[in-house]
Amino acid sequence: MKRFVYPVLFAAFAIFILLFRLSDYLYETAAMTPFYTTGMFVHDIVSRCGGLLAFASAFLQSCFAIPWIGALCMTALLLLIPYMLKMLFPLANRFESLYWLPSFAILLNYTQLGYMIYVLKTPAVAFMPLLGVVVSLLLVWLFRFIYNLGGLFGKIFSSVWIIAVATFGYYALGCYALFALWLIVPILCRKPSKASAANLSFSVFLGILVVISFFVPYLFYKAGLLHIRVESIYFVELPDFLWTDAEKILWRPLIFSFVWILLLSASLLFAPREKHAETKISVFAVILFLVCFGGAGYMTYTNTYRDINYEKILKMKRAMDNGEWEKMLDVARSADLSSDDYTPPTRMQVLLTRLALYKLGREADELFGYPDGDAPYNVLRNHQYLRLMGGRSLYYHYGKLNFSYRWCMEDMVEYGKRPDYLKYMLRCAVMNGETKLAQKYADMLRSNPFCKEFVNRYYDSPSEEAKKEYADVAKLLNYETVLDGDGGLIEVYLLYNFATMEGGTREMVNLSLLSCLIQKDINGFWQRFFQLLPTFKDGRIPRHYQEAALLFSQLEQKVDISRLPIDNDVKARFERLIEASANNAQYGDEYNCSVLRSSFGDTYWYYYFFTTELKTN
Amino acid sequence: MKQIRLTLFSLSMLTFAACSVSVPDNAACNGHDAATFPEYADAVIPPNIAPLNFFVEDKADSYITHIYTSSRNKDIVVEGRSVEIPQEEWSDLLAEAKGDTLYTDVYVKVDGAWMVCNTRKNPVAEEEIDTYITYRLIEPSYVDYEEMTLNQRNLTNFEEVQIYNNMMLSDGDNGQCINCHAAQDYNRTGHSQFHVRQNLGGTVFTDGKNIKKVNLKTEQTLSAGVYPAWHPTKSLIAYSVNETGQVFHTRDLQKVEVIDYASNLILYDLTADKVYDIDSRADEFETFPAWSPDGKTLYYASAHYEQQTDDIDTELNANYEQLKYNLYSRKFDAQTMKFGAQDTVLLASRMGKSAVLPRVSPDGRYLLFAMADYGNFHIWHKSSDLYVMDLQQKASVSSDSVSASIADNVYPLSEANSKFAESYHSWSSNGRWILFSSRRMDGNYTRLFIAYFDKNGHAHRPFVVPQRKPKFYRQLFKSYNVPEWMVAPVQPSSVDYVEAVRKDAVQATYSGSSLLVPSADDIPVSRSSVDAASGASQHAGNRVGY
Repeated sequence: MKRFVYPVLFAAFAIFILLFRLSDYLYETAAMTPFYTTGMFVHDIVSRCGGLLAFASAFLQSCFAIPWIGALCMTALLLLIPYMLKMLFPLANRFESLYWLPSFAILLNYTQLGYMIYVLKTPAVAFMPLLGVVVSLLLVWLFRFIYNLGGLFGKIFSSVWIIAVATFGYYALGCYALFALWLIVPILCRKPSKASAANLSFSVFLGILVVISFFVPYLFYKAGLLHIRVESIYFVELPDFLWTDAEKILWRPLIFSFVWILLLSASLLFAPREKHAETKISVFAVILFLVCFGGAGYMTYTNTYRDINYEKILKMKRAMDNGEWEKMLDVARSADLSSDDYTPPTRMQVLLTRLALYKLGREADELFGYPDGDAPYNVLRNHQYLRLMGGRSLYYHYGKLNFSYRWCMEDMVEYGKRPDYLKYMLRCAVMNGETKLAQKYADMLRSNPFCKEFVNRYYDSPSEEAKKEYADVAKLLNYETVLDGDGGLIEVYLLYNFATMEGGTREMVNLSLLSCLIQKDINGFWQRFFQLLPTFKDGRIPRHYQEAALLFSQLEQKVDISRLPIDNDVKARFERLIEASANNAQYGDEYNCSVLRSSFGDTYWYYYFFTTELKTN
Repeated sequence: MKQIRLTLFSLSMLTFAACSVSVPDNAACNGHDAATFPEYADAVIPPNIAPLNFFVEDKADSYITHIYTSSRNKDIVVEGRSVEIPQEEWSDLLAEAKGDTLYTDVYVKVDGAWMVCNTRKNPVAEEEIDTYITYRLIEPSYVDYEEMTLNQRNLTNFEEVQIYNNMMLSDGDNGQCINCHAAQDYNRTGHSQFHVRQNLGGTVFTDGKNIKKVNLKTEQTLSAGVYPAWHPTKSLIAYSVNETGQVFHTRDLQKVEVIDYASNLILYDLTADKVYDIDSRADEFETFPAWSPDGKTLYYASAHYEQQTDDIDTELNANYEQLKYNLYSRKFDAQTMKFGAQDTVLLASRMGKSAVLPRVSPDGRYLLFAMADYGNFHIWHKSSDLYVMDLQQKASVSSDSVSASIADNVYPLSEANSKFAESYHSWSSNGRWILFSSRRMDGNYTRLFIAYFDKNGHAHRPFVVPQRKPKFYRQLFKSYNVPEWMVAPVQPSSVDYVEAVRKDAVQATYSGSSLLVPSADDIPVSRSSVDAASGASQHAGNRVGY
């Protein structure tokens, strides 16, 4: 029974972290994982050094698209590591806890990443170290089996194993094959059970072969087989974390895993050959278990990336992918503005909220009622995260197809053919009537088992939701082409573009009007407001437009709004605001901002007076 | 033992029977043209081209393809939807069909009955193509770049090798852009060059054995060398030097506009590491130099533009459609290393057009160029088509004429053109084949096409450079750039190049004008006037993919 304690506890922990805490993160990771089965993709990836490992890992990582499947795959592989370590480098039972530490560390290697998944170019950062370690341990197991055969076959196959791992293994697995070579050194150095001059000299021969094997990568490089920097040949397929002050921390779990496994392998040099059965549970074992599992579990849990805004972004993005606009608003609303530990949102959340409101047709009634803010992204590596996460989707849904396509292309060049990019490229091509191009992207996506349904929904036989989405975007395409650029500043571009837009469909004028409101452009507001006025459904002016009309007519006294259908409660509220402002006139903005939030925080007036100097990217 | 042998024999016979494919008897003609990808029907093909493998788009239960010559002495039968033709049999068949026609019948089995589609014909020319081509592979990206390679392809088979891969010296954000591999005289001399930008930048030259890296940027010139033109016999290379930027269409499906905000021509003497101005007038945007085969004339394209404000980027971004390039030439005396006065070759702007990339045929008779409605970076211009000018036939419409009609010694290569962009092109060494880039396959990704150019000056239906896997182009997410023919392969290995690029560059020295009579305008342009970049345009050096 006790033999199940370790795996059950570890599996429960891993599943809890992956599935219950990081489900949205897993889903997003899959969207960032290029995995396809077209002949060229397979050829391209497998023909590179370490490519086979990358391909297999990318497949496993793409399983995160259905988080419970991906989580189970990862947990199963993590469970394999301690079992293999125990088999390869047996220690007394009381030390069993020590075998589990690499699994915790490799789990942490993935869970610590957060925003890094957008900027890492390693194709499958979650699974490559995991699968790499598992396969290298399997290779060591195979070597030990062959080596222990003895005789001529044992000698020949041991030699072949070393040569094969150093050449084919290196090409298929990258540095993990070299790791396997390191791990067999203690096996070779261990005193043979039948010490003889022949055995000894054979071990020395194999040792020399191992040493020579470490020159193979350089020979490959000189032969033009590796199209990578010579400085990288011994690190092929390790994650592309930088060795900077900020990112050094990301290396720790992997370095720990490698060193720990090497130490375990070195234990062969000291461990007795005969295993002593231990049936009783010793106090030492319990203490070690508590220290290892408790400590490693605690370290993994606390070092797993946590950021409330990032979690919300992931939830909102996932909801957006499913067209669940109301759910996006639920996430946006979940912030308690009155709470002491209220965290202002990032611009990404604000823009996703605005998009959801627009999609639901409630933007002009509710937009200023949602939390606004420009909280920095909690990242280790600086980049344009708003662009990386939301550029393509925001541009697409707001009808800026060329710019959506552009950023998909730019990011695809840099980070690979991530499914999320291709999905937007496909939709842009469909909207643009670029049929052959759409077919190209559809064919590619279709070869990813987790994207087939998307292709079916958006391309093969568009669903009602997809048709509506296309129709909504089509309403925003009525504009002339000009040469322009956004410098990666998505929000600034959208705001400026819509605010200065003239003409177009009703939906475009509406977005233009909203952008004028956000930019506090009074002239722009009136111009578009009167353009839009006859089109309001049932003659009812949306609440924020009523608020703006009241405010601007009061501020400038230029436009007579007496004949506009302003709701009585809006008028009454506006009067209360004027009264409250007059009463608090002697206090500063900071005081008023705080005091008036509860009563007027959801109005345009509050935004107009108290929301200033937001960093819009 | 006997039983085992018998079993093995039976098995081998069964396997043989299963593998041998025959042309279906009594197949009715369905009267349709088989839809295939790529589409090779009616293209004139060289007698030494690699197998034209294709995929049958029509849906059927089974497929058999029969390829044969008019004599029917030899034929090839391939089973399956993906028609991958054996290399050796194909070569034999082509040899037999040389100067004749190759026929292809596609049989499809539908509902148990075999049908044969209309016979496809491919005339096989007498003249061979050059064995090698070089090109750059790069995503049709806008500003960002990651991995790009300069490749060499053997057209008689499917062998492709990387001449240089930028990832061997790229390090994170410190990346390397590479472009414009070009060889002297089809690489008969072994001399070739390419550019490396950003990290460890310079222009890399080889004579087949030695490699050197040179920094062609001098204080007096706009930039390092960009579009190269090797003198056919001397160690001289004419370059354009360009200030290039990219701006993005908000709605137009041409998506990107690549604009030169300034450009000039220089001459580089490889043996002395000296750079000379050829033409550096500030109000002329000279680019795309090309030598005549005798090396006595330099052709180029140029647009006249007079800067109105101190912000040329904004100016040109607003007026990009007004920038129209004409074709000009200058005589060159290799003894004195001097260029003569500018001669007008084609005033495309008078026709409301913009002509670039002049290339003279090896026999010196034809000038091949790309012409579109405006600008110089025609791979993004759907209106871009290939044209030729017959240099022996005097134009009846004076090149100085203000007539908007096209000169009668200039005509489009209609058979080769499509409704999508045709652009970068080059002549094979025998002048019978044109290699050019086109976006006709999907509108976005540039592919290489080859068209036969007959003795009467007409191009025939082109075919895409064949690939081993028929669906290759559908799955390839990169574009082909700057294709050039070669008769011999590049000698140094990619590792040789990497080692050379690691080293410091030799600095070229500016040595004044190479004009016989430098004009007052030929004063090196001040950089300050063109460095004022607007917020919208993104200066791209030459990493944009032509």
